Amino acid sequence: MSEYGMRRVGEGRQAIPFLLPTILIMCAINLYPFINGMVRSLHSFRIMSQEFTYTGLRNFRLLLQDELFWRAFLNSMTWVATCISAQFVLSFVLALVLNSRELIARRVVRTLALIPWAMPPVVVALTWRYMLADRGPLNALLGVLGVANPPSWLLDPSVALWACILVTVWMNIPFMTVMLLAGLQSVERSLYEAAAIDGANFLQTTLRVTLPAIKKVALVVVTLMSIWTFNMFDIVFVLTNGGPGNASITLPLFAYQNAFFYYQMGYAAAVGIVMMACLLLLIVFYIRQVLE
Amino acid sequence: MIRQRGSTFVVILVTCLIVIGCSGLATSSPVTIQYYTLAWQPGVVKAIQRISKEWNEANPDIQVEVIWGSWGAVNEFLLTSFLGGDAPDIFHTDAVMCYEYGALGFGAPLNDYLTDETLTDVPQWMWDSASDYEGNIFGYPFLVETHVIFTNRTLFQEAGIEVPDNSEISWDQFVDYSRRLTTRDESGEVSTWGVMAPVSWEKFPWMLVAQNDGNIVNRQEDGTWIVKVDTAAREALSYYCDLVTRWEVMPTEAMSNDYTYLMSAFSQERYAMIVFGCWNRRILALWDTVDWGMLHLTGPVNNITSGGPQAHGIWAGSPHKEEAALFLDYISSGQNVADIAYPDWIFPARTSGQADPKFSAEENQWDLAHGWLDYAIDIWPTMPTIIAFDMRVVVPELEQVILGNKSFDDAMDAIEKNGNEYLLQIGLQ
Repeated sequence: MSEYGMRRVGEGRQAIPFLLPTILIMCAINLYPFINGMVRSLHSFRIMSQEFTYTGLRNFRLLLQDELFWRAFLNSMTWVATCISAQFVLSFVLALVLNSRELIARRVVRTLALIPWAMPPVVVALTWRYMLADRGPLNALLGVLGVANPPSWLLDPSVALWACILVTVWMNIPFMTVMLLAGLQSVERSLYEAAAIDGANFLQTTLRVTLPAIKKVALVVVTLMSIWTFNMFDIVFVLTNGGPGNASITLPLFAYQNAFFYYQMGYAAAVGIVMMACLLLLIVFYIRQVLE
Repeated sequence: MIRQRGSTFVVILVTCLIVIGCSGLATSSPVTIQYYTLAWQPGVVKAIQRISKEWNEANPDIQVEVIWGSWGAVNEFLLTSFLGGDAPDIFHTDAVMCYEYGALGFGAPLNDYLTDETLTDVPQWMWDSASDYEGNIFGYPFLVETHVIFTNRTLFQEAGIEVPDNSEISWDQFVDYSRRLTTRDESGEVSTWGVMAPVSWEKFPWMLVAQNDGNIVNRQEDGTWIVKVDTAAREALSYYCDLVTRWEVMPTEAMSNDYTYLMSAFSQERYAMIVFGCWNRRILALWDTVDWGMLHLTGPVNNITSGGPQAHGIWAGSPHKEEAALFLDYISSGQNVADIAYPDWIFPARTSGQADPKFSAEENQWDLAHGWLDYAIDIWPTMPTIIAFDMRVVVPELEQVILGNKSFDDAMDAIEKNGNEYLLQIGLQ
């Protein structure tokens, strides 16, 4: 080994005692619950005897046969895909507008756009529950606009999940907008000037210049938002609690209900493991983006 | 030198003795017990504050620390506290949940702490709902109510409905009233629904099952449970679903309805009747937006109402069970429980406490609600996890029927199939 290499190994060893407290804390906070969850997912909780009985992969087999799990899984996938796509498109448009030099009172508009982000999710959900009530302001507005039978947003099973998605998109747009705006502001103006000289129109400039220039920021923010949205619990919990008729149930809510209401802790842990497996793909992707 | 060392030794010895003495004092210092209460109505909160303050002044050795909880999060709080080994010494919840926590080993049996006088003063059915089949009592009932139908008397008058003198109506009358009260505007849209009885809370479907003497869960001789929806229970649940699907007197909002919306809709005459606990008189009297009345539903087989007793339990892991039991007796009897029940607009569980004339006053129909206490029982079967079973198995199937996604018979079959699978998974089979 070269002298440089030897020195680096030596420095690494010297760092271990300094890193140890942090490593131990991380293990206690992250690793222990993770291992505990893994172990519990292989056990069934017998409520009367208060015993965790080892059942191997039985919880996972039951999951695969559980119609409600699949509904929650499908809902979660729909939820993440729709929320992220809608958020990205809308945030990108909003970021372009906010980045425009022609925008009057740019700072005021930027501040206003951030308001939904400043509100706690539970408050957002409670506010929207009022807005989306059958006789709430939204349906009243639709009535004024001539919609004869506005939907029962939170009561109609075919609409309930979409109502939750609508609220989540509204709540998350500001964060994505701020991130994309930061990306847009780092794009060199000379690129736009060059595109203008080449005769590119707005759409061509957006597709060929803007998007490639903010690709890295966009990928990171989309991955992060996907992880957060997948894990999001409060909006669905407050708005519909997974109903009506389990129409809007998502995986986090399904796990919560099993753990805290149905006394199926091993089963809930198995749901947690499945969720983690799904998230792992996103996390690996995110880490690769960051490391690049 | 030796003398100096000797004096140093004496100083150390004396210091050690003082420390040991102090620690000895520490063990005889006041015991603090945590009391988790779900009181939220202003008058009840005041009463609890007064009672705990007076107790603390009179009992310097047993200090009570009140923890204010909420009905919305009680199950999560208690379950995680029990499993985490750091629960309050005394907890307040439904009597049936006291039984459940006792059956799970989280609640302590209270038999040794209850006097004969207490046992006879509280009606037996309330003890039964907080006890297991071996006679262990896990909850000390202290409050009880009646489940009633609140009516909008103005709408009743407009519909030409005259209620019986005793305010008790049959299932058929209930449907008849609901149909007459359901009105539509020129476009055919319903402007007032006859009734609202949410499917997932206020347990109306279970009350109907009990009124028809039906059974959904059945205990076997060996202590295990099976799910079998008998004919009487099917009739009762069918009666409930028909309110939406056949008679069209109740909207599908019955699936997702919260208290605020329910009450505002009742005030705005969107619902002509709502099914609720009698404590709700306080809010109706406070709002004063509706000329309200009360009815009692009489079933085909019996005329029972849901008493929904509230009880106190003691955590099995509490190191101060005896002290906690002393406080329980103090708060659950005499003037104290009356002071809690009255501003909550419900009744003390103790028969002696109910004798207070203010619980039978004509004003705000205390007399009617009190009279129906004779019909009160706990409509939940005493099966551990019964509320979880309802939410996991029964409610989703009833919702599917209400939505028209499933036939009633298929839903009943699904309740039996999914219910038995669930009981097997959690070890009740």
